[in-house]
Amino acid sequence: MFLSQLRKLDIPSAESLSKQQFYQLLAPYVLITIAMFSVFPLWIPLIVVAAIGLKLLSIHKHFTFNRWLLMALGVGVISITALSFQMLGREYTALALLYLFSALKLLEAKETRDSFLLMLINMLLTLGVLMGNQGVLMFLFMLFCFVYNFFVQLQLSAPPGTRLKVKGQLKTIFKVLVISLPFVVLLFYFFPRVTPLWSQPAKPNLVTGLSDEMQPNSLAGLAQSDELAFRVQFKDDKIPPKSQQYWRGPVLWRFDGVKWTQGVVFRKPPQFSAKIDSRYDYRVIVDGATNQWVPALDLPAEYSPKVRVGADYQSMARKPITKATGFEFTSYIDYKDEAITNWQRKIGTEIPQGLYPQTEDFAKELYAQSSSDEDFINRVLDYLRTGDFAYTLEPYPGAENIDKFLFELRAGYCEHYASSFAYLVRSVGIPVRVVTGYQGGEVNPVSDEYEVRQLNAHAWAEVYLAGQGWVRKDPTAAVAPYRVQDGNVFSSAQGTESLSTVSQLRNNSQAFNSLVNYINAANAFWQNWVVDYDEDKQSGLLERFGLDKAKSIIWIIFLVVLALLIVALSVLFMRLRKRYEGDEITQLMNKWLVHLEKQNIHKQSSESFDAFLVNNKSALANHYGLAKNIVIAYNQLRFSQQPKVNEASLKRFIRDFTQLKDK
Amino acid sequence: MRFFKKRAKKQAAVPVEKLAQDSWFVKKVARRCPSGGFVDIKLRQAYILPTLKGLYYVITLVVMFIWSTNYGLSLGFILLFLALMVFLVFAVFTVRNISNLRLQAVATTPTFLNESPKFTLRVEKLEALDKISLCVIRNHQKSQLVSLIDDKDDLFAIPDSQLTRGLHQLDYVKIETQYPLGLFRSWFWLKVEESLLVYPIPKGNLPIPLVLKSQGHKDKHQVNFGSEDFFGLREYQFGDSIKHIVWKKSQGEQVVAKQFADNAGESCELDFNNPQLAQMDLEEKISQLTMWVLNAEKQGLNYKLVLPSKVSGYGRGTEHMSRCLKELACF
Repeated sequence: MFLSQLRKLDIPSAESLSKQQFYQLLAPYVLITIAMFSVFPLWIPLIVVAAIGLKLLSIHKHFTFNRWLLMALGVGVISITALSFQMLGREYTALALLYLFSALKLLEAKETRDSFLLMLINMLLTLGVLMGNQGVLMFLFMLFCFVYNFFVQLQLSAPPGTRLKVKGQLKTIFKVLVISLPFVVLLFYFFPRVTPLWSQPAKPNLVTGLSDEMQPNSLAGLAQSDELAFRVQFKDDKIPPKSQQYWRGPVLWRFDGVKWTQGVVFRKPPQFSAKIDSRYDYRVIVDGATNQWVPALDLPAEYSPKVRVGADYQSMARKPITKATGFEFTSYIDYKDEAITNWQRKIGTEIPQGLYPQTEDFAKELYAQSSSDEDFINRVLDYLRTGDFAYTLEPYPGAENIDKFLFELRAGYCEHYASSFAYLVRSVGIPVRVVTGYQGGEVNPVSDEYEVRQLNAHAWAEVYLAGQGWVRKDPTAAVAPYRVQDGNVFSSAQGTESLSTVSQLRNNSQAFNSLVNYINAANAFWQNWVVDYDEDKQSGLLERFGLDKAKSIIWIIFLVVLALLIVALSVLFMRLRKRYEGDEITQLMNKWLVHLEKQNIHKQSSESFDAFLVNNKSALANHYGLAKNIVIAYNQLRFSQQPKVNEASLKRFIRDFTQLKDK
Repeated sequence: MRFFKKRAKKQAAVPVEKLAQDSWFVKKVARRCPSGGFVDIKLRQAYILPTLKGLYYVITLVVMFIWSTNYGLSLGFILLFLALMVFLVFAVFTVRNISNLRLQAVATTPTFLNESPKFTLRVEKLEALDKISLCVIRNHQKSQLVSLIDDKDDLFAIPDSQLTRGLHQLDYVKIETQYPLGLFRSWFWLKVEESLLVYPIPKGNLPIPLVLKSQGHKDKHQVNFGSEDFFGLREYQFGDSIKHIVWKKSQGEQVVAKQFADNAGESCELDFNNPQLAQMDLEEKISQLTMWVLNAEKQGLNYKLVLPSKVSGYGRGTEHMSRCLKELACF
C-alpha cells in the first residue's frame, strides 16, 4: 500500500520501460546488492538476488507480477525482518526493510517513474551500506554506485533519439562531477554539523584494547595483532627514547594466583616530582571503537579534560570512545613518585599464601643473601637474565603456574615475567604493582605520527623502594632486552608465524615497509578527517582558520537559507497539489450547476453548455428560457471578442433562475 | 475489489483550467514575438523550479541528512553533498538547455478542422550545445518533444484539441524543458502574434444549388463566365479551347484567349438561408456550405456565397475560394 501511495503522488511522464532499459536499471542495483553482503547476514541479500533473478526472468519471458502476490511477498518480508529484529538491531532492521522493499519495487517496476523512485531508494541504500562498512575501498565502490545511479537515470530520461548517445551522457556526468567536487569538499568541511537529532545508535559491537585485568594469555590475542592501537603526535617532534616509551594502561594490585585485577582506581593521583627537561607534550589519538583506556606516557602530569586520571596515573576517557578522538597530555619520563598509602603497602604485598611454595622459598633465600631491597630486585632480575629464560608468544601449556614457569618451562612473554617477578618481590614483603599498557611504537614517516600497535601491548612491574618511590622494573627487558630497545617484538619473538603476512613482509622488505607506511598514513587521514569528521573536529578546523566566531554566522545563514527553501518548497508543493478553481465566470457557472444538481439535472464534463441545454430541454421544462439566457451570456463572455453582456448580467440571470426554481 | 469506496469526487462542473491569458503574471512576463518576427532567449530570461520529482529528491536528501547526522555517518555527508550538488548542477543544466534559443513565428497555411490543424513555431539554437527535449505548452496541451542535437533548428507543431473553425491566435505559449532527470522544469513565456486560420469541416452531400438560366438573373453586374457571349480577353489557360485563342494578340510566350460570359447552368448561389438547409443546425449548415464551395471550385462553377451578414460576389479561382472559406470559418 505504501507503494501505491507513492504512485498516487503522481510523478508525471510515465512511460513503459523497454527490455534494455530494465537491464540498465538493474545494473547499479546489482552492484549495491553485492555490497550489501558485507552489511547483512547472508539471507537478506540472497532474497534480493532471488528477486533480481525473478525480475530478469519476467523481463525475458514478458510477464508481470500480480499485485496480490507482491502484497503477500511484502507481508512475508515484514514478518521475516521483524523476526530477526533481535539479531539485527533497530537501525539495521529499518535498513533491511528498506532494502527488501526496494526489491519488491523492482519486481513491480514497469515505468520510468518507478525507475526514478528506485534511483532515490538506491541513494539511500548506498548510505545504508556505508553505515556497516566505512573503509576507503567500500566508500569508493559506493561512490561509484551512487554516480552510476545518476548515469542510468540520465540515460532513461533521455529522449528516444538520443538514448544511445552514451558518450554524451558520460560527458554530462563527468561535467557534473567536476563542477560538484570542490563544493562537496567545501560543504563537507564547513557545512555546520549538528549533534544527533535523537538518540545515537547502539555502541559499537567490536571493542578491542586493554583489559581491566591480566592473566597470562590475556594480552596474547592483542600481541599477535598488528592492528593500530593508537596514534601519537608529539609536539615539536620531541620523541622520548624507545626504552622510555612505556604507555600506561590499567594498574593491577590484586593477585589471586593466576589473575591480576585492579585496586582502587578513581582517586586523585598523588603529586610527583620530575625533571623539567624530561617533559613531553603530545596527543594520543584513539581510532574509535575501543574501551575507555587511553594509554599515556609514564607519567602524565597534565591531561585533557576529556580523560580522568586515576590513583596510579592510569588514564581513562570520560565517555565511551566510538570514533577517533584525540587526547592531549603532558608527561615527564624522569620522575620520582614517592606517594604510598598504608592500604597500598598492605595490598601491594599480598599474595595467596602457599600457592607457589617453590617460588616463595627461592625469593626468601635470595633476599637473605641481599644487602638491601634494591639489591634483591637486581638479583631477581639477574636470575631472569642469566637463567636461560626465553621470550616467546607461544608459551608451553601450564606457564601460568609460577613455580612451573620459573623453574621448569622458562619460556613465556611479558605477562608471565611481570606476574612472576611481582610474585617473587611480594614474597619478601616489598610493595609491587603490575602495570599493563604498551611499550614502544613506530614513526610513520609519511604522516609524522607515532603509531602504536596492539602487538606493542606489554606488562611490567613497579616496585616501591624506600627513598626512591615507585620504580619501574621491566623483567621482560631483562630476558629479552631487544624487546624493549627496539620496541619491536616480532623481530625477535618466536612464534612469528602467527603474525600476518603483512607484518612478515614488512620485516623483510624496505619498499613494502614504506608502502605500508603510506597506506597507514592514508588510513589515518581517512579515519581522522573523513570518517570521524564531526562537530568537534569542525570547530577545531574553523578555529585553525580563525573562523570560530564565524560559526554562528554560518549557522544563521544556513538556517535562513533552509527556512526560505522550506517555505518556497511548501508553497510550490501546495500549488502543485491544488486544483485551480477557475475564474469568476467559471465559478458562477459552477454555482449554477451545483444548483441544477440539487434538482437532479446533471451536466457531463464532456458536454458543452449548448449540448447540455439541448439534451436537458425536457428536464428544464419551463425554466428552459432562463437557462438559455444563462448559456447565451456565458458563451458571449467566454468566446466573443466583444461580449454584449457583462459578468453582472450573467450573475443576474443565474439569480433569476435559482429564485424561480425555489418557488 | 476495493478496500474503500471511491470517494465521490466533486467534479468541477466546468472543467476549465486556468489558461495562460488569465494570469497577470504571464501577461507581464511573456515576451512578444510579432508575426513573422523572432525572439532570442538568453539564460537570464528562463524561469526554473523543481518538479514533483525534484521535491521527492529533496525529501530524499532530507532523509539522508537526518540519517547521516543521527548515526554520525560522515561518509553519508559526502554522498549527501554530492547529491545536493548534482541537484543544483542539474538545475543549471536544465536552464541552459532552454536558453540561447531563437523562437520564430512561422505563418501557417489554413487547414480544415478535420485535418488536425496545428500551430507551428520554429526553434533554432544559437550555440553549439545540444538542446534536448524541448516542448511547447499552449493551454495545457503539450507539443511533441523536440531535440536539437545534429540539426540547428526544428519546428514545433503545437496541437489544440479544442480548436474550432475560425481565426486563432497562437498567443501565449510556454516553452518548457525538464531535461536531465526531470528534477527541474525550466520555461519561459512567449506571446506569439501569429494566427492560424481553421476552415470548417467540409461535410454534407446535398447537391450544389445551381442557378438555372431560365430562372434569369436579376443581378446584371454579376457575370458568369461561360462560352457563349464574348466577354473579354485573358491569358490562355490550360483547358481553354484552342478555338478561343486570339493568335493575333499572342506574342511570344504569352497566348491570349477569348473569354466568353456565361449566365446559365454553370453558376451557383450558395445561400445560408437555402431552404435545403433549413433543418440543419448552424455547424451543419456551415459544413455543407464549405462542401459546396469546394465542390463548386472543383467543378469550375461560378459561385457566390450568401451569408446573413455578408455576401460575396460571383467568382472562382483559388483566391475566391480562400476568401469564401475564410468567411465561413469566421462566421
